[in-house]
Amino acid sequence: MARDRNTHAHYVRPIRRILVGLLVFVLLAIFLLWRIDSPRVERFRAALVDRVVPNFEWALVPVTAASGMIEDFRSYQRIYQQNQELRRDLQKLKSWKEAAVQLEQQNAKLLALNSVRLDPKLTSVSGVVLADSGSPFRQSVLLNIGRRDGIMDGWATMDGIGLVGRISGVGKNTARVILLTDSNSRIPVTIQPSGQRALLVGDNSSRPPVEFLEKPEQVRPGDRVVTSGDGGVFPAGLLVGQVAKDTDRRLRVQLTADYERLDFLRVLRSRSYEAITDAGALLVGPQPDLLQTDTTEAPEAANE
Amino acid sequence: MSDASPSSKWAYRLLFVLLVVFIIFVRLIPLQTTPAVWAMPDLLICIVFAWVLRRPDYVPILLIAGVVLTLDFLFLRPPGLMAALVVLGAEFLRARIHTVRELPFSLEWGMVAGVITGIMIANRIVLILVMSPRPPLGLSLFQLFATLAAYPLVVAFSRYALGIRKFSPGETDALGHRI
Repeated sequence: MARDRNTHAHYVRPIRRILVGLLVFVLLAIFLLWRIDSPRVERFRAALVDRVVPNFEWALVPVTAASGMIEDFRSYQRIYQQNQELRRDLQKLKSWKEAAVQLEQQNAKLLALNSVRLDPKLTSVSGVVLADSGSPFRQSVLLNIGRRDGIMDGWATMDGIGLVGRISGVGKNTARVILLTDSNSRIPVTIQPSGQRALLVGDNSSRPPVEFLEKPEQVRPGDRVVTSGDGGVFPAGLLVGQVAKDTDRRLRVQLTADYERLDFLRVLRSRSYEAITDAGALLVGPQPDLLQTDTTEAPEAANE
Repeated sequence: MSDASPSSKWAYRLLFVLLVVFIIFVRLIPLQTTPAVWAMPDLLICIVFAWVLRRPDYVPILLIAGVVLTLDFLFLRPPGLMAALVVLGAEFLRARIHTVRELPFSLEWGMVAGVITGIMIANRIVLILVMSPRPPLGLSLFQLFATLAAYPLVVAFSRYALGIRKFSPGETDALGHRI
């Protein structure tokens, strides 16, 4: 057999080796290109996913629905228990509802007194979860809405109540949502009631830790975590979750959004906010010659 | 499977692509959106290596490269790196088909395990070198062991369900060359 291998190898093997080397070189070049010019390659990736994954939609959606049904069916086994739990919850919620109505009235009165101008209502687009990242190392889902529906990178995504993640990668018909649990996710948050600013840093666990907290001793387990709107990426005040203390005394966030069952997600349309760039010009009292000039030129004149 | 006729060759290549489509499909179903504490084995590597050692003509190197590159893109991995490593691994094994042919399965398994481990280590080293974010070590190790454990199952499936077995010495291909 050694003879056979040699005769065959004489002309085929060197050519083959060169071709394989070339192939590996091309693949590594793609990798380096990704490392150097990530946005361009990621756009290509989004376009490719946009092309491929919707082809699976006809099968993905029924299979997901069927497995959801099986899970629901399993939960019938303890239906009596659940019923009891729900009754108790309902009782609790009734008292909360009462409290909420009272607070709402109070709030309305106070706002009227202040005549505060609130953020205009956020509008949203809803989408169905098509697929997940397909890898245990990345936490993201793919929605069936994309550029066609006006989705843009960076918009916040919520389920019914809580923040789920943000849009990163938009194709024509699909958009990828990086979940808060992904290790690339960083969200500026405020912890209420102490009002401290921090970052919610995803680390591939189901309860992401809170970092860059100035005074951790002021934060208690059970405090509400909402987005702070710092950095201008997200609107402020979206509910994220509750603070919980880990066994290693690290502060983590119990997310409000139901990550077990992400099926419909709302993407909030963020408008671009007016940015205030300078700290304001020098204030000068009214001077006779300045008063005659146009008002828009006045700050520049004051700067000189 | 002694007839290596061109039509059956293309049928198996098509079968390979269908298997890959099935793998993509299964992994994309959004059943688990919470972070997992365990990882699925990388079945594609198992299939590629098992087939390369048995019928290299069913998995030409360009097909392997194209498929793994597509998966790199779809599964949010650094594109090209895993593809290059799998191509190198497959080529390494292909050059040793004649040795493996005479080995018992346990030794073949050991050899493939070595190659897969090498791929995972090289993958991690390159990611460290280019200072790119790396997946958590525990999860990667789990995936590695799951992949190694899955290899015999993939081989058994290929052999008994798909009828892919090793060449016996002296077999010829369609043109009469010895393989």
